Amino acid sequence: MTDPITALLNRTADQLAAGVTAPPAAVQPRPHRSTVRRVLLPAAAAAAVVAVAVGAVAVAPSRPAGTTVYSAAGPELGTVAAPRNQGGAEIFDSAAAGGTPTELDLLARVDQDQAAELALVGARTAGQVCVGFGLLPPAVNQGFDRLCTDGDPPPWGEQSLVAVGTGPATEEINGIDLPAAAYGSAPPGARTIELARDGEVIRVDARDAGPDYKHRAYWAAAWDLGGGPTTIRALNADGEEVARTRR
Amino acid sequence: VAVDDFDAFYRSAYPGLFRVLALLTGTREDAADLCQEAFGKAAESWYRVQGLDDPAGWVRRVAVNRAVDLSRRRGRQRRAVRRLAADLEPAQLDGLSVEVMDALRSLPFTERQVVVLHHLLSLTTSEIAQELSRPSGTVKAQLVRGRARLAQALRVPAEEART
Repeated sequence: MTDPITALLNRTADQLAAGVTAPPAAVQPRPHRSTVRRVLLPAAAAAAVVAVAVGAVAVAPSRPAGTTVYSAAGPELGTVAAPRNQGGAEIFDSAAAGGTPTELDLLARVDQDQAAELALVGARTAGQVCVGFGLLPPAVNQGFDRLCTDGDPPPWGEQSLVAVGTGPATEEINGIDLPAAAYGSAPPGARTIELARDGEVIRVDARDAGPDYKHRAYWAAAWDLGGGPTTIRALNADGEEVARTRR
Repeated sequence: VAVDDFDAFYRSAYPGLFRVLALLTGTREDAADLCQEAFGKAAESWYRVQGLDDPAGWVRRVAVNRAVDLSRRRGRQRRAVRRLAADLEPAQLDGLSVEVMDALRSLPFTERQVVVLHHLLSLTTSEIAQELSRPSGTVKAQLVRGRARLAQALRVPAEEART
């Protein structure tokens, strides 16, 4: 008879790994005593160096953190220099991929009266597009919850309208109180996200993330998805609904 | 270079490793990243790894040990921003599995490693000690402690650890 802990762990592992198979892209072993070939691995992985992404403005790494640079070919809100050695940009780092990004795309931000700011940021590389949610530079000890894809679809682009939530928290080292937040992405052309629950309605901007994100519109709001069922609508520039979901 | 051999190995070993890492880290994203890294290392050294008695064990050892670094990093991040149960991962955990994950997360990561390797893969404490480069006595103590904590959290009878 299987002991109960073994049974429970196996059951949970089965649920966590439901439907998982090896990603289909090619994986090539490196030849011995021969020319080194690039190892190509599929699926989500942390990003490599974001030196100068396609279509983006070249930004000197020495640019002060927090200074935003705009480019018509980049995200609507521009790019910011990634902080170094502060726990933020390193979430996009991978030893396998080869480095930490030097700049981050600013995809959406939460309006709040705080010394630090919650924001949805992205990092682009040759083969990966990553987005993460956390404290915007230059705050230290920031945390990012992140997701990477090969860019097609971009992160949080596999569904029409995506909403993810974080609960209220206190950043322990700096003692910064962080509000609950909701964030995600909407179809291209969405300009406004409306969140509604029990008669309470807020609207926030959705921002075009640019060509490397397939022009998905990313958004973030001070809203607690854990507070009860929320209806989320994406509206275009004319105020027409283009997508709807419920969380 | 036996590309086909590696490809077959990769496809057969990936799901099992993913399962272990998902339970260990608690997220499919982290499990995928760790798999990515470990299989990447195997690909780089395939001419050597393919000759081992247990190539899958080699990849698992790389990933499980690498998970320690990831755990430290995640701990720092999650102090700042915690993800609620509502997320994008396709895995839908039922209430019991959420309890199991909460109980696992309450264990020190080193204990969690031991518990997962023992219960999911039926590795003995000696095998785990070798895999994690820890003294066998340490692993045994970590397994006993981890099992006791899990049993208490999950309200199941704590049995003697298999060694």
